[in-house]
Amino acid sequence: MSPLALVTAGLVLVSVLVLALAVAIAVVRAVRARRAARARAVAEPLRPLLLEVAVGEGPEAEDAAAALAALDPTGWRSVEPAVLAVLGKVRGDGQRLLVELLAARGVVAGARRDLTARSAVRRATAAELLGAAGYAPAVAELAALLRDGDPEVRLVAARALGRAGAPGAVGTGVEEAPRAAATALLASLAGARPAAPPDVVARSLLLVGTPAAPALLAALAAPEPLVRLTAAEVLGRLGATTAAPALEDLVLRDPVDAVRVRSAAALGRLGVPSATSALRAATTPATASAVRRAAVRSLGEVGDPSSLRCLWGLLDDADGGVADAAAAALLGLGAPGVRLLAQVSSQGASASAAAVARAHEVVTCAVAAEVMPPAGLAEVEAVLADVLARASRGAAAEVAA
Amino acid sequence: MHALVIDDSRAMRRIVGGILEDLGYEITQAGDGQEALDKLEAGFVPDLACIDWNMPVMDGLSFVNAVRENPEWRDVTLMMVTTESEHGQIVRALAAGAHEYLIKPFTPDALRDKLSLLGLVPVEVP
Repeated sequence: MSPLALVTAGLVLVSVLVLALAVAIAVVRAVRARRAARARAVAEPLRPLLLEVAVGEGPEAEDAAAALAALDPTGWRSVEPAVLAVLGKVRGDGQRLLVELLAARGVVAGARRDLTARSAVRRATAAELLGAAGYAPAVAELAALLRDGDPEVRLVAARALGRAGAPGAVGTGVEEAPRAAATALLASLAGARPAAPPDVVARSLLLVGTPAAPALLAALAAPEPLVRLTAAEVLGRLGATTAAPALEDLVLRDPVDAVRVRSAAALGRLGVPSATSALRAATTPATASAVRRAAVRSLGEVGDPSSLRCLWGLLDDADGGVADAAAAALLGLGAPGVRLLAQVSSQGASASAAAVARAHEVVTCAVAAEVMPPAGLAEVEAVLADVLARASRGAAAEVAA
Repeated sequence: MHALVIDDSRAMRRIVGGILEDLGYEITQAGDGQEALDKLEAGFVPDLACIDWNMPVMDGLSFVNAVRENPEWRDVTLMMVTTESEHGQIVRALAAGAHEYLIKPFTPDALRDKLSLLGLVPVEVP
């Protein structure tokens, strides 16, 4: 065979292969599109039933759930993705009915089996589903998954535990689930290598809510700083005022600065006036700068007038961050703080130039941002009038020069 | 306020530095812990240091240890920046004296929240 014929045959062969490939792709796409259209056609009339279940009100919802539970396999396959998609977005009776529907169709049992599957993707998918369902009976299994060898699976399990242990969870064991979930989540932070990122664990603990408080309180005494730090943060965000004495102790005595910072911030969120004394004690120069700033900020959030003198004294602190925080905190104290800032700003009170400048800046910013407490407005207006007069005198002097 | 952004990735330094600049910080960058330490020894003491974990020459943990050994730098707030897969290292960083941690990927709001917690958001009015 001549070289030309060989090349021609090769080109023909390649063309045939390309053509065959194109035809195969087109056929596969057509088959998929047809299958999807058929699934849509089957699922469309079932959509109102699903919406009825998700709303979860009255006997209509129960009837709709029963109808979906009795679907033939083809019908269920077409509607299952929509059921799973709506799962994490529904609470109350709608959530309960959806979980019962999934249990009746064997999906919940399958997910629980998959928690121990060899494939990490299947384990994670199963944990995600049980978490979205808020399925309380799976708390122990999800807790066990926090020791999984795969970090992604542990991450999903930590997220799922927050939902399965939340007050709105469904299924048997709802009463014990929050405490068990909280204990497992906190334990996951212990050791040299925490099971999941602490911020994820904190968010899950917040989902569990106030039922997690006893476990969180106990965790404030944990040997691991990351556990104490996370517990302090969550207790503050939950508004667990009973934790204030323990948090005060951490602010003053914890050996790790990061824990002291979070404890101080938590006390600010709690807003308990009894914490003022501990927070004031944490503002002394011997304390680390980050802790001092957090304590000063929290003094403003607590808003107790007994902090007035302490914050005034910090306005010209050598640490600019502490001094700035003190000026902002005085504003947080309301009328008494504003009055003091106004006095310092107008140099009516004996204060350093740094304190005067700082007080002036905060008052001006607060007026501009319209966050001035109404009771302090009179003082501020007087100060601003003085400031404007001084500014116009300065401008006149500049023009004259 | 001054921030020292320590990361061997120029892109990450630019991202973190950009967010901090928007918050009113003046930014200084260093490509590894040793370069950052040299800046401190030359007299530059920032209010905040954002420290990556894995870096050539000197890693983040060694830098934290070195800063904590010198009392002159006790007011520098240290924030470790780690990836989700490295979150186990937070434990060692906190024990060494880091004040806060930030897990990549993060949003500007997440960084701002951490700074707010540390009282390090400039000109913050309640």
